[in-house]
Amino acid sequence: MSTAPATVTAMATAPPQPPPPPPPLAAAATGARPSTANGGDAPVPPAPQMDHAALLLVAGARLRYSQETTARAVAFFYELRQSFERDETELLAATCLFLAGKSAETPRRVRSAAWNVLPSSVESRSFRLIFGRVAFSRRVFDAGQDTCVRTSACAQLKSI
Amino acid sequence: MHRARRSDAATLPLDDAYFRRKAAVVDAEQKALRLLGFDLETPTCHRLALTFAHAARCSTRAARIAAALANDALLDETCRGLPAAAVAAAAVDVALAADDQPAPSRCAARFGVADRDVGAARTALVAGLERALAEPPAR
Repeated sequence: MSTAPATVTAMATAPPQPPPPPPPLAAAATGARPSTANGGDAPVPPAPQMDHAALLLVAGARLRYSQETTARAVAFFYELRQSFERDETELLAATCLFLAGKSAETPRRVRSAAWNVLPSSVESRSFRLIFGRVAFSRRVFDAGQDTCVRTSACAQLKSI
Repeated sequence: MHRARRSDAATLPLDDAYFRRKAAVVDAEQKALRLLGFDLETPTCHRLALTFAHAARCSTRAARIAAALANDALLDETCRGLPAAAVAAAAVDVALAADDQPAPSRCAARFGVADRDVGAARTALVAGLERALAEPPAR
């Protein structure tokens, strides 16, 4: 509470800067689907910023990884992040998920890891046709959201 | 083959983007493996948290909270920079406090973890938990 005035002062004195572009997967991770949210014509509002670890957690849940396997992917991601370019973040996330699945002896397909992380996969006609025609992927998506919410400590404490 | 095995399914259309993307992931995997030195053994705090909870004779509910806290620690930058044993010990501490159980023994000391690291992880976990409890539900 005591930091609120300082934060407000800092925001008032700081020069105005354009908001950074949101990570492309943030919309998918937060449940927003820009292509269907407003008919595809109106400008899509910027999605809230998400941590890369949160994106990996959601993607890991959608891949039905255990929490430990997803934790391995997060550890790989932050260990390798300096060695990859900034525009390769989604590629690195997919790679870390793929590697974590292998190392935990629960491998997943490359296309599954890429689909769950790479935002540009939505633009691919093949991926859209492969995954879009089955309702199962939608259920997996929603199950991943629920898993992430349910496994948080906040939800555990509120259920007591 | 796909068409032969499942006559009701259409042939999967695989364009160049599909194979380019798969090749990019495989190439990045090779690069990552070399950067990691082909050593994929990464300590995570999940198993350690459950081990500590078992050693501290936690209840099932406290152990479940500790596992959830270990999962939430992945979202905290402070906890990601600390040893896994310290985060696991802090998760068990916070879980026991939330479950009104007595303070645990210092299991993390057996793994060579400093009390300072455990305290830092505990502070970060409690702060994140209070922040999450104060927020309205996301869905």
